[in-house]
Amino acid sequence: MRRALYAGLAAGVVAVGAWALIGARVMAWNDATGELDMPWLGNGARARLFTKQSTCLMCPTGYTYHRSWGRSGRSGQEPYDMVDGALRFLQQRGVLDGWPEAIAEGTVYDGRETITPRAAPYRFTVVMIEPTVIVMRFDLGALIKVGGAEADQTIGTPRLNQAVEFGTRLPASGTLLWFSPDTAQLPAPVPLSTPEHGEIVVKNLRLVLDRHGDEWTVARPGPAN
Amino acid sequence: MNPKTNAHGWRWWYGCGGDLCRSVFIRGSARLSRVQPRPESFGARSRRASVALALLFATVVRADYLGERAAPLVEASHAEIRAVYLGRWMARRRWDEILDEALYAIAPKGRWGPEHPAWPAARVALADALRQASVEKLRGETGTWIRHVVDEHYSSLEPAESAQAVAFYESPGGRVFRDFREHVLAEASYGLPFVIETESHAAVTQAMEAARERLLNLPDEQTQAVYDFNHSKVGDLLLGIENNIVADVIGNIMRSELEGILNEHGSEIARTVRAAVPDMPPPSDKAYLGTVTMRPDRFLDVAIEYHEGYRWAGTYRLTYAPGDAHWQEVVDGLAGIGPGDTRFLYRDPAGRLSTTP
Repeated sequence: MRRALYAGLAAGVVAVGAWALIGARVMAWNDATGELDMPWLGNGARARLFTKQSTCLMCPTGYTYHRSWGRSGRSGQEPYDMVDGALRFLQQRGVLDGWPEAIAEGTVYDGRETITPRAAPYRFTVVMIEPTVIVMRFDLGALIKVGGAEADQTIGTPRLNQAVEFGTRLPASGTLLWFSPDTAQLPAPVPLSTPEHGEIVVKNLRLVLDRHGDEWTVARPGPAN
Repeated sequence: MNPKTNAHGWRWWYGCGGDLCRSVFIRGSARLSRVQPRPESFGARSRRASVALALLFATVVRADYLGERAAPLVEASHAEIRAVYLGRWMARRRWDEILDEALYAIAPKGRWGPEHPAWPAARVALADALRQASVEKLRGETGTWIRHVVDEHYSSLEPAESAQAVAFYESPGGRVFRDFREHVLAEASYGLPFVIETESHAAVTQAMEAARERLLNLPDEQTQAVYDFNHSKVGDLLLGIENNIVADVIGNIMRSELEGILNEHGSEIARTVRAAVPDMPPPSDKAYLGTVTMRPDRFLDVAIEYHEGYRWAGTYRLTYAPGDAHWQEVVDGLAGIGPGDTRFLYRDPAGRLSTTP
């Protein structure tokens, strides 16, 4: 009797241990940055991309998939939410409504509102997070989904008929604008001191844009002052 | 010509109601039995795998059941080949659209169009290449899907209704009616994809007229039988299934398949067309965007054409005033444009605008 009780207890301990180990492995954030060209962080470092799976009993797959970008998985932000927040800022300020409704995209209900995707003649690139800075590059091809970055350098959004890109390198074609929802900065031309050099200052943080041939690179050298 | 069943249970038509087609065949139940789960697979290692296999098995069993239930009527009425003809007919507008759109994918719009001397020959070469690929599709999955659609809908008749329809299609008058309808559909869908005819259009038309004559000259009692069946509940139901449901579904399948062929084999087809028509315009790595017109007051009206899936989806219209931030950079790409001018607009892979492909 006692032997059976001990055996049962041991089995229980093993089961709980295994569950804890598997759970810890499943719940931990994994650094998925790899070779991705990640945006800057306000502190001067590059953001990192983290992913994790968590158990979801009601999901068809049995798990849900999470992403986060920032300094760590826990302190970071879901990229989709960040991009959505930035575009909602443009929506609230009437910027999105200035662009045509996207053809053949219908509408999307995201649980809060019905979204009519827009077709903008720009490419959007997240170049910094915490605070968010997005550079807009004039490109008529964006209206009809011609060109654009590789899928792994993009974040989807229902608010546009194109994905939003992220990184620190941009093709050097088309006028550059920028905006920042964190400082309520509406789209404005990137101030250029020469055709090959420009600077964005937000919350006393500098982003320096330098043109190298067919490409702009965005650097984060240090405080503005 | 009646379908034949080979040793593997495949049902073949060596012609389409009279040697109209080079070859059209649709795989029958033997194909389904090939994808049945093997018995050893049921020695499942996990519950999930067992459930998946059980679902697959249930699907296959259901398809087999419907196929068996529908088989006498499908065979007696030649439902499959009629469905193929009807699907081709339903897809004819999409076929025309795809031919034009695909030619613009081979050489950009603005560089050529229907007025270009090489356009008609290129359209014929493209049609040939696409039709050849479509026949291959019909030999494969597309044929299986058509078979499933036909089985599903023809099995919906009650056994007594099905028997009544089979009896009609096997009667002398029923056969003449069936042949006439088949010839009508073959003529109407002549030249469209999924079948390559070996007879001329004139010969197909002549065969249809001959079938019409046979129908018109049936003995009175057979004429009455044809009339009675087509005005009966069963005849009406079958025509409704064929014309309103099966034709729609198979037309949709064929429209999708045409686009799928281009997505899958577009480069190869483009090479074939270029080889057949060497005087067509050269390819370009630039994308055609649309047109730009400069008004007398120097405002720019930009029309960006959106094509998606070899289909024109719409046009975005933007206007830039001379003082707008982007007016100058659009003008910079339009060498020499002046008030009243309209230019084609292209974008190179780096995003630069120009007026030439």
